[in-house]
Amino acid sequence: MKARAATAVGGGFLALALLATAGSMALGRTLHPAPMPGAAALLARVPEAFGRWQIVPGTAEPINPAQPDAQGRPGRVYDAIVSRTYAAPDGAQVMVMLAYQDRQYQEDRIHSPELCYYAQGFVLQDRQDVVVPLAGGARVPARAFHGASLHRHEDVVYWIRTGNALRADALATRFEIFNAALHGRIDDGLLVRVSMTDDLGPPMSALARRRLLVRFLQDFFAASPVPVRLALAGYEGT
Amino acid sequence: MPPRPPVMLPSSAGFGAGTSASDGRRGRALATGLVVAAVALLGIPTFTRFAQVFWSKPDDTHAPIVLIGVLLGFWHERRALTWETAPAQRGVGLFLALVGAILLAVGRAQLFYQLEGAGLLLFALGSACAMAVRTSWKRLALLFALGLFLIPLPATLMDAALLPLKLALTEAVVRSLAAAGLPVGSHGVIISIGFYQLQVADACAGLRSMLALTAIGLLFIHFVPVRGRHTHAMLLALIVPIALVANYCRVATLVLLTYGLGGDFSDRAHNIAGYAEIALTLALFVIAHWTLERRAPQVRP
Repeated sequence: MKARAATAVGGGFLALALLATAGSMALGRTLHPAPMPGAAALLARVPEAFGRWQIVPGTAEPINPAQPDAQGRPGRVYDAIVSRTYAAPDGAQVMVMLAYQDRQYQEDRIHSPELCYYAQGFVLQDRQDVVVPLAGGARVPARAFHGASLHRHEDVVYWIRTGNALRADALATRFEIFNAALHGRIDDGLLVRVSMTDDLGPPMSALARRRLLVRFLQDFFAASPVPVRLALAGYEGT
Repeated sequence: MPPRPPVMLPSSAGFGAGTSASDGRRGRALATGLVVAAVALLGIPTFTRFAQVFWSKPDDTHAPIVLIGVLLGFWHERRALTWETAPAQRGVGLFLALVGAILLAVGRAQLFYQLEGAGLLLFALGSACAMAVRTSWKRLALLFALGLFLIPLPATLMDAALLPLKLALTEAVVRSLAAAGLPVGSHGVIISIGFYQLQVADACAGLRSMLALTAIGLLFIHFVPVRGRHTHAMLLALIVPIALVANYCRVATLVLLTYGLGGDFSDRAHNIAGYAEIALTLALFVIAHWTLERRAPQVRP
């Protein structure tokens, strides 16, 4: 090939590289985070009591939603964490864990609880997609699993809100984040996780515990004030 | 005006080439320089960020080694970048680079590292496509395959895929040590030995380290001249088993060290274990290569 043509092609590559660099900067400028102001105080407004449930000092330590790294240090930092234990008169206890992060990126976002439990020594069983119907008609795609470790058996149901989207599936969440950024948004995210261990309250099958947790989420949402509902599911639910 | 007489330049003296040939070579060198500048302009910020976000973790100490290997590989193949290419090939190259540049720009803006890495690789692939002669494509393809190992894997995928492997390896380590009479047991990925409990981290046994060791195996095959197709195929087939053996040795050694010395290991101990694992992998490849070459039928004159 003629040298001049080669130089022109080479220049073309350099021009493309310059354009890509400038383009990424320009695109980065268009992205705007939309955090929830005063997230910690807001989430703390969860109901003190509803139905037969009442907040108590918990007997079991909830599993940390942060996924520790190889050396056991917490790998992720949340902007707000609210954790409560609710007890029923029959002795059953449900742990609620709300973990908030004001920016969701592909590799820096709320992880699914499966990872946290797994990293903390639980073997995961019976993973299942469940639907939590909420007041106001939303049907939240949530996920349930049973975590078994040497010292603890726990049933968990959770969903993750990313912006206004409710997902439990990691791939769908990734797509949501990508799509939001294409529209100029950096969404916030909230993990809504409820769980119960098998050693408190009346004996129940795993399936019954799972049903109880779904029911709990419905009532918890219905009993929450509107700002908390917005935080939990991105809509008012009325 | 009469044309100027050709002047012999010292650089081209030995080849008896005139001005045009010499200018051509210089022009092509300039063109190659422009492409290298373009790839560097995109690649340096990308890899700097990967290094800050991913490679500084003890899980990912292999990646810089793979990067150095890939860069050395391209330097090794530099003679293939002659620009003796068809216009269509250059067009395809520019098109690939355009797509790569778009992916990279979008990925970088969003902190979507995988997209950024894929875009960079596509851009480099496009430039190689425009420059490289067809006969070198096979060897360059191996380098681009290695380049894939530089893209950080999404955490989601990693954890989904590595779990069975990790469980199997944990089980293998625990069984063999228990058979040797040590007080060892496991639950999930937690190994308990004596009074200690340790968790098999992603770095020790899992997709991440398997991939890194696979990359190192590919580098070995690229750099060490291998005689014969049979030996080549055998070495390729041995990549995964060798990585598994190295993984097993790493986990077993850390378990035994915990039992013998007790307590916590620092990041440094884990890093040293990582490098020892690479050394072990290379040693196993050298042994495999040597054995295969010895057994390979001699080429008849």
